[in-house]
Amino acid sequence: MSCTLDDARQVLQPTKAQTPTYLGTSTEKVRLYFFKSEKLKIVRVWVNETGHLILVDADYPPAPPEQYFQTLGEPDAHLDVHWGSGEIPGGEHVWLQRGATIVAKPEWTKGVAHVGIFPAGLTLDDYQKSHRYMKITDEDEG
Amino acid sequence: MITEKKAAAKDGGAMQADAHGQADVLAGGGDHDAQTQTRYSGHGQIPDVAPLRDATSPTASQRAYGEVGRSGRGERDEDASATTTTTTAAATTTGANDSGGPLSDRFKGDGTLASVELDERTLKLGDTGRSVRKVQQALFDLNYGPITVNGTYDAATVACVKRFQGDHKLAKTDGELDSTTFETIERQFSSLAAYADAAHHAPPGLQHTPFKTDAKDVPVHLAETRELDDEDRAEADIVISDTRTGASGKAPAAFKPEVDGKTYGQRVEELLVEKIAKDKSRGQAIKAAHDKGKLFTMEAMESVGNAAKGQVDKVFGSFAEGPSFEAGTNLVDRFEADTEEHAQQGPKANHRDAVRRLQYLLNQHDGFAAINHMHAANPTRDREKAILERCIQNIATQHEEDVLFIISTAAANTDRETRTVSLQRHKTGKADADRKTLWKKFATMVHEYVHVLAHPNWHANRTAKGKSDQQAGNTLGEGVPELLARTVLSQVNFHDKALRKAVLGSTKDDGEVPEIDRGYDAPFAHAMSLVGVVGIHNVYAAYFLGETKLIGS
Repeated sequence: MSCTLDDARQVLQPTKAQTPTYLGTSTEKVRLYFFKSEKLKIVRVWVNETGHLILVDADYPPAPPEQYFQTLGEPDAHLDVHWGSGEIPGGEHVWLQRGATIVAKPEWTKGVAHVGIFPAGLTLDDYQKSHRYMKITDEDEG
Repeated sequence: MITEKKAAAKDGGAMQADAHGQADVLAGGGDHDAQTQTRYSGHGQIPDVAPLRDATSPTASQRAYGEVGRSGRGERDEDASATTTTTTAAATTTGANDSGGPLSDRFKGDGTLASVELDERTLKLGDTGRSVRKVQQALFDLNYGPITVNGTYDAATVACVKRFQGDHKLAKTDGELDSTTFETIERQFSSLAAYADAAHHAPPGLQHTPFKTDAKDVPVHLAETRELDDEDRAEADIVISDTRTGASGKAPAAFKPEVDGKTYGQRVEELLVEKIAKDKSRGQAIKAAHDKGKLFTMEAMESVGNAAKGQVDKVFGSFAEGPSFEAGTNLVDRFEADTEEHAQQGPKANHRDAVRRLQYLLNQHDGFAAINHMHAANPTRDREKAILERCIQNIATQHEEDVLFIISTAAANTDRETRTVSLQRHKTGKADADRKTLWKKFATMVHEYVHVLAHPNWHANRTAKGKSDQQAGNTLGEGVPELLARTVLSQVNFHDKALRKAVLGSTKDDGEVPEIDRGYDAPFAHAMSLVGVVGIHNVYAAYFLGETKLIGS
């Protein structure tokens, strides 16, 4: 994937929302843009400093996990993933050569909790460092 | 990197101490049972900040950490004996103990400073020790200099104290730290205006904040921070949690599994059940509001969120940048989002969420601290830990549905990487109550936005700390953000019409300055103590720039 933000704007509906942020374990600067699409409420587009997309992801896609496994084959890695208040052991399935990831595990998720696409052919280390989103939340008592 | 405070900007600091207007900080009760809360009456004014000082390069370190002060130094019952002939005897510890005595949170637990405050002694030229270091750090944070935080009450310290005494028109102007002088120093921190002022000084690390494109490849500029030594790090580690023992040389108290016929576990479970009942009752009002459509619009919440962002940016905008909020994308309704999420999750995820929530509730609850005190319990010790885990599992299993409901009706949360904020938006339809709710949401959004600005290293550090000591993790994870949020709130001009319009929207404006209840008093207090040890600039550099070694990690 060597797409840019402009490519994303061709196929997705942009919103006003965007933010500088971090992704993965890296402290490199990235920028996150929020889009909408017909089938997914929110699509997130993560862009690095050179303007290239490093991840495009969404929560709760409609397709079931089996469809991803059938289409993409056996994942290259199964990772423990922090999702919400804590970890889902072995809950993330990563296809490094295909540039795809989903979060899904029986008894932990009903269906797919998250789907993402990233540049194909990354090493696992590179993926975790600079392309991996994990859902971690901080509370406020209000 | 150690810096010396330059003298030039001192006068600005003195003006600020008076010019800000003090936010009236009163401990008070609120709708969080058993939790002390702080109420702001919103009298803070937008400050005239000191001009930026010359921050071209940090000065060379001049820390000469004397051997002198080491003998007889207890971490909490500080003995500030010195080697010169003017040395005073070891400080008495009257009124000073590990629970803090009369001192404010910043100096809590310092026996020598407690004695100073009680007029039992002074600190003066030649004295050494950690208490001296804390006073020096306080003066440094108040923009007095030149001063080196070295633990020796030297000529520079005397000069700064003298200047402070003159600026505040105290009767004593000889540079000796007496009770009145120390109390006056303490008062400067009660409104947090001094911390807001510190944020405007030569903001460090501008270069390394996301998308601050005006400085690439420039080394992180950490003026006004200081390197910590081993004792600083040890003390920083102690003050962020009540569970630290042994540093004072005393043996940890033995756990009392049963007191007055009731076990530790029974008390903890009763506390949790009571808390669940109370929070469930509160949550029913939120659900009812949703059922009846009594909700602020998401656009109204967007306006509140962006108003909060504006206020945080005024204080901390040079450190880091966060999102503008858009309703429905990065600002969502918490009740709706969490209810949907729980429906999408499997049973193991829901149980895990319930367990985590109960852990969180305990950490925030003053009642838990009281139970620990009664039983001399240390939640990080294996025995107590095992009991707590069992209690939490029991209650999570028995009350899972209620706990998940409570989660969905909790005030707000923030996703660290997407920086999406989930917020409640229920209303009553009655102007007085809705105004109060909107101001409370404004303060909540200030806190959430502050969360968003934390550097990933900060998160990694607080997570690591929290694994061995949840209270320590909570101090870093919530106490420090709350400190930063209250610093922002202390600067808000609640009379500003544009702000009032942005927050109150179509709700009738009564023109009154709001009273805003905040929670997190316990972790906030620990965060203040951390600042007392390492200084506010170190905390800023750690939080916003990831320089966590500057808080002892």
